[in-house]
Amino acid sequence: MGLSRFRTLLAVGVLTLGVAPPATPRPTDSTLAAAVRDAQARPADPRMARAAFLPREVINEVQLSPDGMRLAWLQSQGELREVWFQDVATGRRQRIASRTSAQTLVWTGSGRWLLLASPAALQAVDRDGRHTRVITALGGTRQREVLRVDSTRDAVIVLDRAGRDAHGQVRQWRLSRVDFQGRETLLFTSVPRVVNLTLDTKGRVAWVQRVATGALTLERLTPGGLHEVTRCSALHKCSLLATAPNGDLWLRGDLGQDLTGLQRLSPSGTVTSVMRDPRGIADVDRVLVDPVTAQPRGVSWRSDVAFNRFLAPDGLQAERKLRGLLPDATLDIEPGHGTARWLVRTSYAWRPGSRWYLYDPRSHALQLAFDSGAVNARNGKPAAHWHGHAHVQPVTWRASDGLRLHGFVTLPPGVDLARAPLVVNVHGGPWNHVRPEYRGITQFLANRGYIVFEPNFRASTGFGRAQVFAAKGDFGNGRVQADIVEGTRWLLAQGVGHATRVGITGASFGGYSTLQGLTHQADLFKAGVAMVPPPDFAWTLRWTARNPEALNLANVIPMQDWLRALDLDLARPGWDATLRAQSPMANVAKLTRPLLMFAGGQDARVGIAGVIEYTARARLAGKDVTLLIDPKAGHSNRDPVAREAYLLALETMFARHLGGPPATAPDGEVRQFMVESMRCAGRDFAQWQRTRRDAS
Amino acid sequence: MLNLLKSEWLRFRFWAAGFGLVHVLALGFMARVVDLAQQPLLVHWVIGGLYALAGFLFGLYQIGSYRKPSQWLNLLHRPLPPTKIAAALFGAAGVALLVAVALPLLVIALYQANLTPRVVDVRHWLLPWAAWGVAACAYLAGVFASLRGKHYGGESIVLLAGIIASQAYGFGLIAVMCLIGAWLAMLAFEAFKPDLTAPPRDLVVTLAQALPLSAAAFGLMALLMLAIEMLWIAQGSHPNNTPTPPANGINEVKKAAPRERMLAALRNSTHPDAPLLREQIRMSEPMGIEVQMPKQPQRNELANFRPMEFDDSLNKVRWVFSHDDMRFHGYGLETPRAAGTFGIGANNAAFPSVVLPAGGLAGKAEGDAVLVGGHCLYQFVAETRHALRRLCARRGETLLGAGPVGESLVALSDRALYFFDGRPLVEHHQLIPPRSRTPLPGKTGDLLAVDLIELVDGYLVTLTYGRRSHSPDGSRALQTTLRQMENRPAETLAVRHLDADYPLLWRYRNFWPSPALYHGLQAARTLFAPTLPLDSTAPVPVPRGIWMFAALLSILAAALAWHRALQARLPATQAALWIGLNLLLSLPACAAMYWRVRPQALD
Repeated sequence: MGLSRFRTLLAVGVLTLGVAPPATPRPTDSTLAAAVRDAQARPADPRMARAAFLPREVINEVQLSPDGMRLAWLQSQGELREVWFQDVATGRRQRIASRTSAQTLVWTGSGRWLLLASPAALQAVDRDGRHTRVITALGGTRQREVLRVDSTRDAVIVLDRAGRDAHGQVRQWRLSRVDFQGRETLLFTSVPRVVNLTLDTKGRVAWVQRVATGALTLERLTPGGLHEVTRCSALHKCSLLATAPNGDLWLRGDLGQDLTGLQRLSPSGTVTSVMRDPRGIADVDRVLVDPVTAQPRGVSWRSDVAFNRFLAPDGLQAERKLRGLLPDATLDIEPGHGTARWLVRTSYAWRPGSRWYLYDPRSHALQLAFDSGAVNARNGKPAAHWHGHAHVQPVTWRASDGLRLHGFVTLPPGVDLARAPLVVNVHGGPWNHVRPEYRGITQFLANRGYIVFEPNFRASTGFGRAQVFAAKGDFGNGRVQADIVEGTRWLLAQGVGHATRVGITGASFGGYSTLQGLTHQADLFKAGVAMVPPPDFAWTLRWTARNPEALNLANVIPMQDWLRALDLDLARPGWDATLRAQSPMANVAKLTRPLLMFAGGQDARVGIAGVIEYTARARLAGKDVTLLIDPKAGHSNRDPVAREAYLLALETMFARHLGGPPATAPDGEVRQFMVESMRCAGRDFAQWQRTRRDAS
Repeated sequence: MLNLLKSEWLRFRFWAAGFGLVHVLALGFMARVVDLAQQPLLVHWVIGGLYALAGFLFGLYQIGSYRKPSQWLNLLHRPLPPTKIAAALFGAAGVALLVAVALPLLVIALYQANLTPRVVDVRHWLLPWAAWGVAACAYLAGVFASLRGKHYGGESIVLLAGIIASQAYGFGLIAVMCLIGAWLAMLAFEAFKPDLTAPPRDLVVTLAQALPLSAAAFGLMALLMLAIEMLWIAQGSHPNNTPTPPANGINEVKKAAPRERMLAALRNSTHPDAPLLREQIRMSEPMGIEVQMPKQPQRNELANFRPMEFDDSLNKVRWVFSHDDMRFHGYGLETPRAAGTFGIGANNAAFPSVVLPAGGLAGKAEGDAVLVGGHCLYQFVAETRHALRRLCARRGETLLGAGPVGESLVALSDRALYFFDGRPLVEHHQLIPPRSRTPLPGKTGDLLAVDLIELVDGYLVTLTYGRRSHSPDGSRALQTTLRQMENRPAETLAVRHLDADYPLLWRYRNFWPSPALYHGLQAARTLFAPTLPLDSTAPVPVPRGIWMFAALLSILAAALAWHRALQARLPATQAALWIGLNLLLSLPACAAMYWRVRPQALD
């Protein structure tokens, strides 16, 4: 414990003494210009089939034992999932289970057991794969869930709902320790809902996070009971990580600051910021922890640039070495315990799939464990290996009101970028953000010669609270849309893209923005493809808030409460007047550009009724609108045929209206999907409607 | 008389005991396998049918054994009036049926009540007596058929069919059985006389025979119409089976997909929003709502429309509804021990009306069940072991079903559609207030289809009426399109009247042969029975032409009756009775007279 505490203190000291972390790339206009020059100088990529952009990874949930000696992973075999082990020393692989419903794998702190968690049960497999036992059932009427693995012994901490009152409200929450013999020990009960907890080095509950009205409390458990130390209100983040050796709480949060970082909370309530983005741009995405002690060893950022930082010098050195060995790759690091091997996952924003490496921090030796084994999502056959070269360049610009915004531009190689068509791909949410990672749609468009711009407009997460709250509920044709439009115009002004060849696309809120763009910024956007778009954002919020989906969107804080904090008070009379007046639904007459929409018949987040009414109004007004509805699909469509059809639609629309290369003919399945889903055919898709009529 | 009864009982005692033994063994075997008290209506019908068959055959056999002239004379050649002899034979048969039919049922009911944790209500204790009543009625029908021969047996069978046709339940059904039994007994006693071929002289008896015989003729005419319809269908021009149903007719709407049905309803609408709504319908997948309670369970009814039980997988308990205390009683699925009761809420209040398990519901946890009864839908929460009101129609209405419509929920009562938000259904267990209520413009018995699509802030509903537009008791076929927007009353956008696919004569084919019998039989069916919402219709008035045609037929029947009475040289009172009956009951009475007043009577 002493050594660990010393390490932590040292790490904090490293930062507080001002030892500079390695330089981190900061996007500037000059880096964009360089990227443009580089892309234009490279040869064009060969044109790949649409299916090449829809790979499915076969291997996932790769976990390295704390001692770095055994690998475990889940491997898809058709519809089934298998559990595999690999002995790191000998390389021998062993299938542990040929059919599992497990979705998550976790090694215990001792490394003796691998835990397999499925929605219905928690199982343990010993490290040799010989013995399997069910530790506890999960879910059920008690809605049992595992909160934490107790590293001090072979046990887990579970949370149960204990009874309901006459109105169906939970009476009590029970926290218990369940050992691997199935013995349960009640730790404590709570009337407010328990969200999370941390244990001390002896396995005792130290900190508890509970729900209070519109907030989360952080409480210290002492022999006298729970004592509230602080509370996270107004959508402040405070994710519990571990108890520090001195009793402090490690958390990933933004208490008292704008950016989310690694923080430390003392029992007296003092919050210390231990690590945050040295550039002052991005939120911490993940904290890298020791697999045994759960103590933080480093953090990673994924908002504009993907990078990692370690607290201790050995970690810093190892990370620097790794970056030298794997340049350009995004590194997802799982440090081992002490000096044990690390598991490193590499991925590239311009290439599908990922690889797992074993890294020895003592010798700096890097060993490839395996790649993700991507297969063609349509037929399950190994995916065609190809390496695209459309690099994803982080960019930054300043909005007209002075707010600094960030995004990405993907530059197709080998084309004249000043004359190339530009597609704006707007992310959904809007409380979400685009990350520097592979996106099939982006790379598909780039492969067809389109520049793709992906802005993280205000309201996007990942860039601090100020950016999220800067939206002020202005989601109509207002400030948020202006960020997207201004970002596009800024990019054009940098000589990236041709101003007469700009299209827009996006899913969910991105689809809404697409509709807004074609309605209110028709001079800029010449065509649009929208996936599951809400044509009236205010109605969609109200509709969702009434439906069961609202509960999925609000695991802890009720949906209407967090919306209120974001200046969208659904209970305030007239809150939606501006949003409705500026909505695409209310301004169908202003739609002058061709639009194609995809929607899901079972969408619980964007009511299909809104999409249909919007399309019907547009059609009656003589607009060039196409609507495809997949009756089985929800808010996201995992059907590879539907996803390929979406790529076909993008390709067709932008080929005709932005001058891109024409789409190749689809195969029978995609053709059938298009015919069966076509509910309203615009001018570019009239042949599908005719076929549908003929078929019926 | 008592001695004759005893000797007749002794004659059949082994048969009765044997039948009773086999009966109790069969029921005992079934009771080991299933809960006999919770069997659906079909099982009750089959078992009741077997009792009726046994009783009828017994009646045929018993009287048949005395039917030879010598035996008949021997039977009646006693110092007793024929009615007392008959009473002795019938009494002995009643005792035999008691042993063979009622006693085994009583034994099984005793077994279920005392040796199992199953629910045995007062209504179940009535079952042995109801079964005895069925067998006894059938026995009397058999007696009458045996005494009067094949030409006279029809009316007794028609009376027997009245038990099945009756919509009464519980004590009401027993009352109906008593009436039918009394009628059959009167026929049997009257037929029990030395000269079995002598026609009845008593006007009341003549009427008592003529009425069911006319009803039988009426039924045969209906069957004849059915046979004609079958031929029509086979020929291929029947509106129900033409490749393309007649345009603008009820068949066209019935066979159409929901989307086409909704579009058709708005086809000729001049409402300014109709074009927009038509476009929306074209792109939507209209949803429907099903009637989950096709038959309303009534308190203390003898049979169950479907088993009044469900299995709670969480507590491993089978819960069975008891009509006596209007609560569910449980017993273990693994160990057959009583597992308590549940009613509404934590204080275990009795349900205000009989409830049945029905369908699913979002937010149901393991072991939970949905119960529907009266104007409410309840959720049984397995965790707390009590039921909670979740959705309710207005007091006085009857909830017929509920189902998801997109992410929300719609419920159908006999008078309105109710729309509920989906979130509270999953979020808590409290009663959910409806977001909107759409009154139904017609009767539930006429409702053929409810199709709807969701709109922004509302619903578009197409109601198709005309389920019974092919028969005299149905409404006119039409489609009504309503728009129900939030916080506003429902707006009627269009009403489309549908054409009748059949000629008027065909629609009223069961009416014009005898309006009096048509209405009389309808009244008999609903004697002692409540009006159920699902059977409630708004019939259109019978057209004047049909009335005139029916009147012409009545006059024709009366003229034929007069002619037949002359030929048969019936006494004036008998002739007047038949002519009056023909005037009132028209063709069926004429057929009955020609059947009953046979050519032999002319001699």
